[in-house]
Amino acid sequence: MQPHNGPQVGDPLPTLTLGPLTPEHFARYAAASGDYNPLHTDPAFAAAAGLDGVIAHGMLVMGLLGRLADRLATPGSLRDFRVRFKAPTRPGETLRCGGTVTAVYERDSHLVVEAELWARGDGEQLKATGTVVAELG
Amino acid sequence: MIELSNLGRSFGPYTVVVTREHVRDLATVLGERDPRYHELEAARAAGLPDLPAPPTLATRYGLWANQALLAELEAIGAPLPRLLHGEQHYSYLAPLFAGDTLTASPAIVGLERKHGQSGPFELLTLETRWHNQRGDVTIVDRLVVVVRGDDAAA
Repeated sequence: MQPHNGPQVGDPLPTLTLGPLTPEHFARYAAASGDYNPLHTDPAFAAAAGLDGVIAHGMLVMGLLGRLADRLATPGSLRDFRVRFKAPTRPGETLRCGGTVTAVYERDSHLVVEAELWARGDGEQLKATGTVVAELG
Repeated sequence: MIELSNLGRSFGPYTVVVTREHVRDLATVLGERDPRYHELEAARAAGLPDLPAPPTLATRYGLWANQALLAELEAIGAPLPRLLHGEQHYSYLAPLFAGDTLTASPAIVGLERKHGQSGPFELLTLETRWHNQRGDVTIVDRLVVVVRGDDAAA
């Protein structure tokens, strides 16, 4: 394929951080996402569900990874985005997200870029991993 | 336990309207400041008809925000307090903008019984194919929910 000035395999994505997260942040995410599961906002409910306190919405973590995915391309150019949630995120933790370009190729005269993504919390604990596929131009 | 006969079952249809407020609210809470997600002028200057959907906007219309669908799952043995989000997969087939109307009938496309350290659990995969007002599939949402066993929630 022709040389291009876009992303190259091995390129790191910019690192994003959010936090320290607070219960108030979970409440704001609930309002913005329509996910009012009390598991994320009510400590008594979380305890009754067998958890050691409230946990962040998984989709809050994926939303941050989505901001990274957006750094690859303009809105509307994502083709595929998948995330696996590995561990719950607690209030007080700071999330750090990053990624690496894993493939760059041409398909139907579009430049396709693939990247792997990760989100880590305090103590480098892995919270989520994912992959994204974007089609440029 | 969820009866295996529920595999293949679908719910709805559900219809939602994508609003600018949904786009702005999600972008804001995620700390996304790209003006195309906030200002109509910036989106139009970028050649877009309206505010574009951030990558995870479909969660605003998915299982966790759909009380009717959550009630359906509870009725088949998967109540909210026992659900955990395991995986999320979006396929983007056509662009999505504020002002679009989406319709879908989420379906159970996977149901697996597992046994882990803390007892039995189930993996339920829900697939939602969102059609826009032109009848095109715009986003396919595949969500894997971990349904913890009754004991875990005791």
